[in-house]
Amino acid sequence: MLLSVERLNYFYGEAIHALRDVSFHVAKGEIASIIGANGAGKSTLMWLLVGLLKPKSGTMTFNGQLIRPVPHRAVASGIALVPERRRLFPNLTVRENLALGSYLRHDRAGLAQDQEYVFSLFPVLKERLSQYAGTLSGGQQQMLAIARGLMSRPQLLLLDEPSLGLAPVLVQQVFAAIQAIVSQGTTILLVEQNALKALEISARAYVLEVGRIVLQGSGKDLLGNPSVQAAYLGVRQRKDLLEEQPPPK
Amino acid sequence: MVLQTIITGLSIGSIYALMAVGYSLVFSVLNFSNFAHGAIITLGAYVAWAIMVHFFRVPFVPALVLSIAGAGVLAFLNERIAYRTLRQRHAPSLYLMISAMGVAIALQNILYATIGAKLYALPAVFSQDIFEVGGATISKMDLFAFTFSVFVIGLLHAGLTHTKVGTAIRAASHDMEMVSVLGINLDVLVAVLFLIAGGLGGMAGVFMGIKYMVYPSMGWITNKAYIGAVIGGLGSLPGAVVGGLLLGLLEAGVSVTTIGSVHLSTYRDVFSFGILAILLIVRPTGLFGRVFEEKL
Amino acid sequence: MAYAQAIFTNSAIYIIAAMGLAILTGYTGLFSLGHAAFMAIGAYTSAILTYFYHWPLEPALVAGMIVSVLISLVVGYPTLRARLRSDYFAIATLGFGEALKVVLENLDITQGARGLPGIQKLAGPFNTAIWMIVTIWLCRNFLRSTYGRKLIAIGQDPVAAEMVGIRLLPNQMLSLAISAAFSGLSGGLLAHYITFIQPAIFNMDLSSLLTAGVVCGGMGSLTGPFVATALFVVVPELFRGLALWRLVLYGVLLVVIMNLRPKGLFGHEELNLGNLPKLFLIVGLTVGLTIGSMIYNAWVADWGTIPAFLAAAFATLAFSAILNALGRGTAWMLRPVVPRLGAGWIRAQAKLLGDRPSATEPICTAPGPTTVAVSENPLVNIRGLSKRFGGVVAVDEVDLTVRPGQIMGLIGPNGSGKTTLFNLISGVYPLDAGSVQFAGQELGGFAPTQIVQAGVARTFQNIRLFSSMTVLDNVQTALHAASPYSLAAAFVQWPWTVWPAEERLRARAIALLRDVDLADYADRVAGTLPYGLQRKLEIARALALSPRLLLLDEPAAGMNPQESLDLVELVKAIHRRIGLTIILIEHHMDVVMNVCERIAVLNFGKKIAEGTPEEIQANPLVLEAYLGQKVENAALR
Repeated sequence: MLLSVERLNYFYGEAIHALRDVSFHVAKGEIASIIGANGAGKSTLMWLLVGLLKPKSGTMTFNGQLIRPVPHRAVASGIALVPERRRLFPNLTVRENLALGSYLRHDRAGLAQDQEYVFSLFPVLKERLSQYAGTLSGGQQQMLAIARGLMSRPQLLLLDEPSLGLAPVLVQQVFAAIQAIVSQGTTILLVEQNALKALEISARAYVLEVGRIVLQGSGKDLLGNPSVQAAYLGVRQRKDLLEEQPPPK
Repeated sequence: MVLQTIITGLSIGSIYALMAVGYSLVFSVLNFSNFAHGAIITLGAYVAWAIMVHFFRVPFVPALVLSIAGAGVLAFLNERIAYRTLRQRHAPSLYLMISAMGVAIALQNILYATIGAKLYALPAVFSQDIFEVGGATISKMDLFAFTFSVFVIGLLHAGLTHTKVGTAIRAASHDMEMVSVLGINLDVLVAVLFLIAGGLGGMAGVFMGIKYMVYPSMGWITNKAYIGAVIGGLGSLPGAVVGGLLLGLLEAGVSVTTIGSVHLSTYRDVFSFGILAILLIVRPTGLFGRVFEEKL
Repeated sequence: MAYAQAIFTNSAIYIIAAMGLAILTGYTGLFSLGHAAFMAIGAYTSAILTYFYHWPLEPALVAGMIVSVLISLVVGYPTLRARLRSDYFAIATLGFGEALKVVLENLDITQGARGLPGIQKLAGPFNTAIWMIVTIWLCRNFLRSTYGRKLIAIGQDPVAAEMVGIRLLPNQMLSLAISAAFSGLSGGLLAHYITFIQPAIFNMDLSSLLTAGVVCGGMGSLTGPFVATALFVVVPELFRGLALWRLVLYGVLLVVIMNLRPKGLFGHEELNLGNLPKLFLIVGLTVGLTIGSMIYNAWVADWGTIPAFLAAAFATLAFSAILNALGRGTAWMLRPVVPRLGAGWIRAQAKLLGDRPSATEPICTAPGPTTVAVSENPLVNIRGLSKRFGGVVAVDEVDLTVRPGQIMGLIGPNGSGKTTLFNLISGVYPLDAGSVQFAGQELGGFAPTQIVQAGVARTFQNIRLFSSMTVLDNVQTALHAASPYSLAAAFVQWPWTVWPAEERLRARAIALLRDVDLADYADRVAGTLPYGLQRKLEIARALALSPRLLLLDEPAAGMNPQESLDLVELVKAIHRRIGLTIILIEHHMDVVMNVCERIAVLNFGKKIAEGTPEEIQANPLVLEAYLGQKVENAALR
């Protein structure tokens, strides 16, 4: 396993148990997804994986090494994050945003190669190298964010809700790009609210609900599982949700 | 007369601009007012005095370089001791501001307690040469200060736009957390930031020392710099330059104006404050300032 | 003896200024770097009046305070008006301090930089002490009034304060005025004690002393600045040789305190049984240091440096330990007595006022509509509401109607514009287009505090409580609109107006807390409550505003299923009891489906569906919005 997370626990402050005993794995070369409603803890998980947050307990192992809560080591060890809502630098150009993605690298030849690769995935970026990132459209921003992540030549690319705020046509493009990236050997961990699309392309998937992994399986299996839909729209009876809780007074 | 006023204004304005840029640079990235900047400027002047007058007789150019370096190092230490822990803990910017204030008070009074309140003069580096331009005069010193400041600010701009570190600094002014996720060590980045800001301050201190005198409370001149930075827009570097120059021009203009029998020059400081008050009413974010919309 | 008197008088003078500054910086959160200027104004005004015009002391002092207040209003208006961050205000006070010094150095009447010598020594230890006690009493009273609570709320969280209907500018200016008044008083007393003033006295060093006193004492306390300022005046006197290093110490202390213990000596607490030993320890340490230094000076000649030093250190520690023990003992002895004293005081208050309404009378929680009957006229009528941020359209021509007494749910995927919609309704963001009609009134363009006054209250996704205030105070602060006594009465705590009013407010707040089952927690500090209870408190605070419309933004965020259930019950109970109209944003579907009568669904800022919970659950557009594009053979239904 490229990434192994065992019994991860995280609290916001004293009281909010945001992640409860979360365990999952991602194998090399595959797409794994974590889906779940908003507030389930998905972004928190991403921040833990890049070391922006420190877990209360549990381990995260990448390439056999423990992930430590030191964010600037993430890229060096081979993990790149494409965060929720992109978090590009709007005051910098497309070219400069890309350059920051490859900040730690010094291999000119490799960089040129990766740039070509990124432009082949997202040709629109090549046309707008001198444009300020803040003026790009939503879809273009998402592409730039993914490209920035790829520029560090990561082994594991973490994608946090890439479809957020994008029109369906663009979502198609983004997901097509995701599959192309995987076919080139990069492993992807995808976190999505847009469950269908994520499940379609994932080899392995987990459903996160209020901080707990409640379902897991292959993408195809979960696609056909009615519990997934119910988890989103509360169709399931309340008692199912409360099976571990004492009955209300 | 007008030309002379403009020249005077630009010459002091360029020093204000240097001070304001150092202050705004830190503000733009770390989002707090480094009120210790004035102390660093003062220390830059004192380093120059120490090596040019008191201990050695170092000639001007190396002394300037050493002062810039010395001030940079002092600023780095300042960050390390007074701000780093707070920054890592994501403390509110008010705490950083108070800590900065503490450093300013402590440093200034260490100077009083050790070296004393005596005013010192830096050696007359430039002969009393003056140039004549269209009926106005510029001293060689002022010309040098102005040109060198412009050059250094230009260098800063080039560094910020054409080097990796500079781009990282500009990125950090928008989103520090993301910058760290991209592999950049924030502790190193902030250290570099303070080295640069300190260096700029040191330079301003030397020029101030040559133009006027060296004394412990010269750091409070930076209040003008803060006002200049606010005029230009807190967090904007072009704003800091423009604001500093404008303030200098304004003060020069006020200095030569007489209403009735009242020389407005004595009320220069009142005018600086008045401009600030008016600006805050008319255009609070300054000329180039950014509006921060808080996400609720 | 005269020496001790001088130390005492100086301490009292600076403590008066520190109390005022504590209200501004410690409680209201406005950091001032130039408060010596207000001392200067008070000093010069009163000195000129006594010296040239032969006024008696007290009227001159009051005149100094008034001039100080007026000038503070002129300075405060432009700098506070734009609701900018605290840096701007700090820089402005720096500039003001310098500007004032220049003015003082150049006016004829102040005799310029030479200063005013020969002022009558009208202030001495006795009357200064009285002024100090009066100041502390006034400040303490003020902070316990509705006016004071408003300032504290602003210092805790200005955004939440506005959402509770507290207007920032007038209250911040009030805070500035109060601090200027007491600084002016302090300056006047100083002038008449040291009998010679010049502009150079009122410099950055003095401002630093005051600021350091407040910060190190604790921002949010009066006791703290009192103790710290006294220490800052007294301790340097013990170490005469270190005179110049005194200010270095202030600076270093500011850095150390901010880094290691930002709460300062007393944090948010006033003197109570819990920290009484701490006070004794501080006093003991100070006196111990004094004794120690006296011992050192007396014996160093005979015994040599090291033994004398050791003896001094031993004396210091011993004395501190003794006083610490004394403090603990005193606290232990007072423990049973204090509550009884408190009860006795309440009885005395009751006797004094004679007949007054009983505190246990049931009080309506909110004067909402008296019937829950659904009328045909909508309470909320939103038409064509739009908002862009740069290139992104956050809300796209949304129409929404809510009838009185309805509970409307608002759902949609992340980023669909729900919170933006709330922010538009509550006036946080200006509208780009469209209208928001509430009870026939157009809310578009109103300031947030005006919208609160119109009857709209909200809670936040990230709970915004006044975390250092007690639970009771959080709710009481929201009741400020019913502030039935004047500012003057607040300062004096006039028994016949203030006491009954405060009692009524307190009773009403307790009743509101009872409605959400939080009455038992009334005296707990809000920030120490468990998360679910904090959320309830936020709702109780919103209800205290007597709203006709309540906007709940993800109230169940971060809650486990049990807590969500409790919340559902609470919302239903509130709705039943007072027929409040509610709009609810939520992601927890079980909450939404169980509470809401109608649900509107947003996606990409547009409303894509509206209907009953059953209708929404079956609506394919909604499914698609959440789950993504339909796939050919999705075996989902």
